[in-house]
Amino acid sequence: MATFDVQLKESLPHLWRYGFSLTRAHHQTDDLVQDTVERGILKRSLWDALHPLRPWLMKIELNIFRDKYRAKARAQEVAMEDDFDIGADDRTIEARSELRAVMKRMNDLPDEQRQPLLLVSIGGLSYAQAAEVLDVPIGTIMSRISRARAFLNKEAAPQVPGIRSAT
Amino acid sequence: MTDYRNIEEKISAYLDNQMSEADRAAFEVEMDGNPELVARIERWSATEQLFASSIPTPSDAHLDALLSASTAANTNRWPGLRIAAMLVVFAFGGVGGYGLSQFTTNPQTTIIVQATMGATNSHRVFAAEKRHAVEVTADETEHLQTWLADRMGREMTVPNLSAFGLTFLGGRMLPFDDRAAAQYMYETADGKRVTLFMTRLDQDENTDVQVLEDQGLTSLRWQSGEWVFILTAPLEQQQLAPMQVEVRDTLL
Repeated sequence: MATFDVQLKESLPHLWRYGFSLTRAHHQTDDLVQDTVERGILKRSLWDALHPLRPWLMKIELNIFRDKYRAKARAQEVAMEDDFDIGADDRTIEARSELRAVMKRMNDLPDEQRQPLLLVSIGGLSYAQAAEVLDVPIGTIMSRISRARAFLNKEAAPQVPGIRSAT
Repeated sequence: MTDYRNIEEKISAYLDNQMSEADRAAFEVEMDGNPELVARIERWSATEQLFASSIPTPSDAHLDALLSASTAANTNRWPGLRIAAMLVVFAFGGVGGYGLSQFTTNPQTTIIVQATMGATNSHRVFAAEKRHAVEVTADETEHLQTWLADRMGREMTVPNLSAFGLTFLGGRMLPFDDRAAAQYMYETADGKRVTLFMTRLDQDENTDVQVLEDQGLTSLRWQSGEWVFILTAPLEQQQLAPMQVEVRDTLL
């Protein structure tokens, strides 16, 4: 396992992209990543060196986001696409409208489904690592991610056969 | 075997590369002869790539600046940690960064970064396939060339890379943005897959070869007029470079 410093450096782009998927704004992402790195360095003695660092840092990042940023973001009610640079590139009108639709659905996802999806697909974590970050069983991660994807693709949410507790 | 509760969980685990070898093999058998399932998997994957393409990737320099600011803040607050913070700053000097940011340090349009992501994502998805690695196999090369030339609007001769020990496996069409892209796949003697991704961009430009290294994959990207070519493989840059020359000469 690489050292703390090397892993921290390697985690940075993932922390940033995951942070952006949470905050949806450049400067807030910078602040969030900086806070995460600061807190990670302060708490480095608590890190278990046998485990990869990135999930641990992402857990810190998510906690900071929840404590500090989410209330603010909700209050502002910034439309997702405003900060997503859709206008800045040379996508065609069709591609833009398709992207808007995906983002709108991403926005409409319940948080419990969006979080595991972002951790895995943007943050690059495994299901086991995402389960650790969110403190839920791995089966719950799998179920929530699959329902999130079905929703993003405008499909009916998957039905879980048999009697099981709701996850 | 993992206990998947429905097909959606299987698709997700497949896309996220979270299946065991046995589960993956079984699922690929399930996909075989089920074009609706394959189409659904491709749709789910495309949706996610679309979303991912809208999240910017900061440059190495930007991330280093964030890091320095963080470590400086810590140093001030906790004098005892100064040594640790200095070590962090020091360690960062020599360590390679995240691949894509090498591209974003130059002024690039979003679309070329998207094309690179599309190429590496497609490489990861299809190079991992055994039964469905290509859409049209090498024994129908002529048909493949004609078909792709029609869709891409350019000559699509398959470069011959046998001099480098590569076997041509075939190719497929891929969606990219609002247009078509093509992927050719080759294989080395020891089973490593090499893919060539090609698509049209909107701006006309000629560039040198740029190198991307990301999580075990090396990509060489160059633009020739409106066309961008991205050669991707789990090989060293030096091994790929002569192949790139051959590809470029064939497809100029």
